[in-house]
Amino acid sequence: MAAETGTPTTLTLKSNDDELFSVAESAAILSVTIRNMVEDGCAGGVIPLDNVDGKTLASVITYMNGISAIPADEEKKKSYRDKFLSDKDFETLADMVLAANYLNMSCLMDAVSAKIAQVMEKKSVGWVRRKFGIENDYTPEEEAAVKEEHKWTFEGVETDDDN
Amino acid sequence: MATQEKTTSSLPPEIVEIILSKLSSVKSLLRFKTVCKSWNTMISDPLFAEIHLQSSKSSNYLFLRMYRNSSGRGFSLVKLEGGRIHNEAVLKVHYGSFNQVLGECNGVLLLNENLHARKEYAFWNPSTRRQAHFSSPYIRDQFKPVTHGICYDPITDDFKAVMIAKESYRIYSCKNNSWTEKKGIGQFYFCMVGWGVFADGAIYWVLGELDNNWIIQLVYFDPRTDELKRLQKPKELIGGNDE
Repeated sequence: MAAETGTPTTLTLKSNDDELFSVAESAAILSVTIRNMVEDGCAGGVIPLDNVDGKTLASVITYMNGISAIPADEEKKKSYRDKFLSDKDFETLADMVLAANYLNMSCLMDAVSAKIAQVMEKKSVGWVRRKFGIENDYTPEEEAAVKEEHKWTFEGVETDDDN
Repeated sequence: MATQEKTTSSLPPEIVEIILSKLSSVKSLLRFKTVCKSWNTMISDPLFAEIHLQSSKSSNYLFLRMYRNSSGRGFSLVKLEGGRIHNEAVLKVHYGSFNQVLGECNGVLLLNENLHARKEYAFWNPSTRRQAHFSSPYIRDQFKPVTHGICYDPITDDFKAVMIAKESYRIYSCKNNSWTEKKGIGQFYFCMVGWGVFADGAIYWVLGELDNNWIIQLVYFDPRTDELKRLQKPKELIGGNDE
């Protein structure tokens, strides 16, 4: 690790579709995965991140820079996170939760998974199956039985016009 | 976006579990049991319920409201939203009236009706809308509880109601639908706070005991052993009287 010489150290991250990104080490080490690489001295050249695509990595780096610029003020960090995630669609959020998990960034992981939960809250079962890419493995009889048991939970669910 | 209907590069179960544990309403969780079998299994797991309870705490504020109508009294759970009261859940009562809350544990309420001689009790989980009724099995019951409490035993996944009277105490197990009566541990006459407080796996009471003089006792019930015990006071308190 470069000692505090005054000039901030910059790391180069490479996405799985071969995009390169420069990011300040101080921001990048929000990721425990990257921090471990830096501490083990394997961050000299380019850090390959095999599980993250360029689009998602760009977004994660925006987050890293944004959140690390905020001083230790949990309220402000929270409102930054809320704002950062507010315009993301489900697919982007799903990519980000995978990236946050791979990069071992607990604050982003918590925020994104909570955001996904919030988006899901009033959604129909069909919507969830589509978005999560889940095949319905119930027989029609089984599904009807599970549904019947919790009938009241189907009241007030958003109608299914969102594909 | 490049592809129109891009199915998410399916999220691994451990991430799905984290996401589901962050759903603020139990209503959504129960609905999503219908998504597929593995989600049903995950959501039905008592361990998952515990994780969800911990991570969703204080995200929703609900109020209990007592109502009275021609058929009797009961409780409904209401939510304040936009300055208006919305009925979330109503405790269904077969007959009589439930007019007392006797305890709370992990969102499950213990209620009873004491207007008539019948001793009817109910466990009610307003979040899942589940309720279980039970009544005292003892004929011409002389048992007069001083106080009550409700607790959860994670080992047997069971909710238990505890009733303390002067001569004895009784335990009702929701899972086994069975009563146990045990010899009392003191002449308890009153409870300082309305009901027992469930904390850290046990129910605690502050009870007034008559033993020549009035003494305030701390008493707890451990659901793993089904025993009522006294909590030893710190030495400093035993010396000084009436502190």
